[in-house]
Formats: sequence, C-alpha cells, structure tokens
Amino acid sequence: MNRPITIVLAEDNPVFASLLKFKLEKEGYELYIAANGQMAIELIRNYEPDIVLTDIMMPFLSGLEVTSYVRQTLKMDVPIIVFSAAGQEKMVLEAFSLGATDFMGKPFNPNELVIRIKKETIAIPVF
Amino acid sequence: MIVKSLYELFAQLSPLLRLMVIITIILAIVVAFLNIYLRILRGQLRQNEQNQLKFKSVYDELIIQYLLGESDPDTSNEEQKIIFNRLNGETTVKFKRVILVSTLIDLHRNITGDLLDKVRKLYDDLGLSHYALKKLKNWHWTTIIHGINELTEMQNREVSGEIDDFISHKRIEIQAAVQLYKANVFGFAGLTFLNDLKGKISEWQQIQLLESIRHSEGQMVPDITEWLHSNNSSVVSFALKLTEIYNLLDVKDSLILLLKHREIGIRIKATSVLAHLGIYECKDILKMCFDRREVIEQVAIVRTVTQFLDLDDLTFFKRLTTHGEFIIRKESIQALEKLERMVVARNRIPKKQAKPDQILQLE
Repeated sequence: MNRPITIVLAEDNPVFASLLKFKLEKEGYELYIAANGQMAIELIRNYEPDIVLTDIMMPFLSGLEVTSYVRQTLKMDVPIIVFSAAGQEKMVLEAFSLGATDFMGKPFNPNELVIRIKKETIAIPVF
Repeated sequence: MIVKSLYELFAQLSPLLRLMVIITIILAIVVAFLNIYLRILRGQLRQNEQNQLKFKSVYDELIIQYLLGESDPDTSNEEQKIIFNRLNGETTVKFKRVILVSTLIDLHRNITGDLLDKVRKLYDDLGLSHYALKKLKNWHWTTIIHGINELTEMQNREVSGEIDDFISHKRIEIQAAVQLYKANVFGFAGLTFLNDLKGKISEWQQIQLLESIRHSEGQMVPDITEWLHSNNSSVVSFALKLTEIYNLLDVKDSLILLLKHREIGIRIKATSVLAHLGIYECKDILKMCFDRREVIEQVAIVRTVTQFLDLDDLTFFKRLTTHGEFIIRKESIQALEKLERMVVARNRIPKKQAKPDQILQLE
C-alpha cells in the first residue's frame, strides 16, 4: 500500500487553511494543520513530514522561527515552502537564509502550490 | 416586625439622612438590575460567538466543497446544487449572511486564478452583491461605507454605476471609500475622479490609493499632465508621487512649471522629483529662484543642484558658504569639495598637490 506524502501546514487563517487542506487532501496528500508556529513545531517533531508549508506572519512563533527551528534544532532537511504577503520581501530573503526551499506570495493559486509541492517531493518514495 | 422597626428608625432620621438612605436604596436596585442585565448580555454574546464559530466552520466547509467540487470528478452536479441551495437559503438571515460574506472575502484575499473567479461568481450567484447594494441605500454613513468596502473587497465591477453616485458625497469618509473602490477595481483607469475632484485627498488616502493601484498589473500609467496642472493641491501632490514612483519622464515640462507653484510643499516635492528623475534643465531655474525662496525650500534646491553638479555651479556654492543657515553652508562646502575632486580628476593633478584655493581661484 502506498504511503501518502505528509505535509505540515502552518497557517493562522482558518478559512485559507481549510481550503488548502481540502485541495491537498483531494490530491492525495496527508495534511496536519497548525494554527501557529508553536503548534507547527510540535507537529513537525511528532510526524516528521515530507514537506512543510508555513505562513511567515503567525502568532506565537513566526514562519521564520519555524524554519530556523527545523534547520538548526531538529536538523531536518525537509523542504520548506513559505507563504508571504506583499511587502514581506525582506522576510522572504531572511527565510531563504534560514533554509527555506521555496516561497509563494499571497494571494496565490492553490493549483500552483500543488505543482510546487510535486516539484519538491518528486524524489520521495511514496511506498 | 423588623420592617416596622426599620421604618421607625427611618422616621426618626433627619430629612437629609432620609434622602441619602433613599438614594442609596435606589442605587443599590439599579446596580442589581445592571448586574443581571450584564450577565444576560454576556451570556448572549457568548452564545452568539459560539453560534458564529459553529456556522462559520459549517459554511467554510460548504463553500470550499462547492468551489473545489466543480473541478472534482468525484463530486456530482447534484451535490453541487444541494450545497448551493443550502448556502442560498442561509443568505436571507443577516447573521448568517455576514458569516458567509466574511468567508468569501477571506478566500478572495488569499487566492488567485480560476478559483478566485469562482469565489466572485458564487458571491454574485448567492445575491450577496444585491445585499451590499442595499447597504448603499441606508441612511447611516457607516453602513454605506461597509457596503462599498464589501464590493471593493470582492472587486465587483458591475456595481460601479451605483457607487459612482457617492463620489461627491458630503461625508469625506464615503468619498474616500469610493475612491479606493475605483482604484482597487479599475486600477489606473479608475483614477479619473481626480480630473474634477474638489475635496482634499489626505496623505493617508494617497498612500492607500497608491497601494491599491500597485496591484493593477499590466496597465499603462495614464497621462497625468492634467493632474499636475490641477487647482487641487492634493491632486498635484498625488500626481507627483505617481511621477516619482513610475518614473514618468514625459511630464518633465509640467514638473518644471510646478517650481513656480503657489504652495511651498508642492514646489519642494517637484524639486525632489526633478532630482529623482535626473532632469538637468531644472538646475538654472532653481538657481535663479533660490534667493526668493524660504530656507526649507532652499535646502531642497541646494541638494538638487548638488546632484547635477558641474563647474558652472562654483559661483553659486561659493556664495552660499556664508549663508545664514548652517545646513545650507554645510551642503555648499560639501558641493565645493565635490567640485574640487572633479577639477582634480579633469586636470589629472594628483589629489595631494591640489589645494582648495586653486579651485576657488578658477573662477
């Protein structure tokens, strides 16, 4: 039986998170949703996902701190895609310097996110 | 028995004390009622909040299912119809409609592509634009603004005619909301209201307008000459910002004319925009009018002339080294130092051999 690709999504906007959950689950991914950075770190530690999607601006811990924690503390080389809004270009650069793999500027097309996830996870064996 | 003795005690009191006792009793009763009322109110608010959360999670799911279901082969048309009818039924209740609209706006802000078009279509199909338009007919200005803002968020172009009626509304807040609607929905093309705008556009409103048109990708910046010549100073100020941000070199002549504008703020801004665009022709005009200007404007002129510095400016800056204003003296000395370096470079004299006196003697 195939193992689905697991994703941790850290997004504090519940409607947007639900939309992405619905979309990505339809695509066959297994999704764990965190409403803030702190929850995201817990989920990443517990589930060791194949890819992490994180918004930059979140309560408690930001996406930058999540990225830093994953790379520095957990020493995981899991792909990390950060979501940024307009005007957060500096933060995106900082995210890249902390080890983010890719970024998507909000608003974005969920279909494009699926393509990026496929690109990042293409080498992961799913069984 | 106790009541009787209390009454007797009360009867023995002086009139002033009696009045105080009566006031105390009345206040105690009012406080007790307020306490009960607040408890009920708090309970209702909590109930509303819970209902809101409950409905929101249901509607979020239904809307997402509906939006993504169209492209999903597992979801039949019949299921789609059922979801739509359910949502449609909920729009008649204001409380539920507000939740539906907030979900759609939330999605609208975060997504692009075909899904965005679907969100807009669902908003229209559910008749929510009709409810937003109804708000425009409300007597209260905040409700009108809510209606305009909702239609702005949903980028609804069809209602433009109805919203245009409010462009000259007596309330400046409504005017501002209409301006933002036009800029958000139509981009640069929506800025035509500037042609005959009578009211002032605040600095904050200008920033918001600039932010709104920033998203109008692929649109050509219109000819803004008319706005630069406007009698409305705030329109001129906004046009200057556009000139600077979009590097509109075509309006060079209009910018030079603005150096004679009646308002100092516009003249200073025009000077800095000319410097930003590197329009050399303005230099002699600036130097000529220097003495007639206030210190704050003189500083801007000195900085702009410094940017176009050449040996012809030697006399100008030499004269300013004795100016009464420190900042002008400082800028002038710095300009002279730059000139010195230019002369050294031109004459190929090793720098250590060149003396400042040599430069000043060049004149």
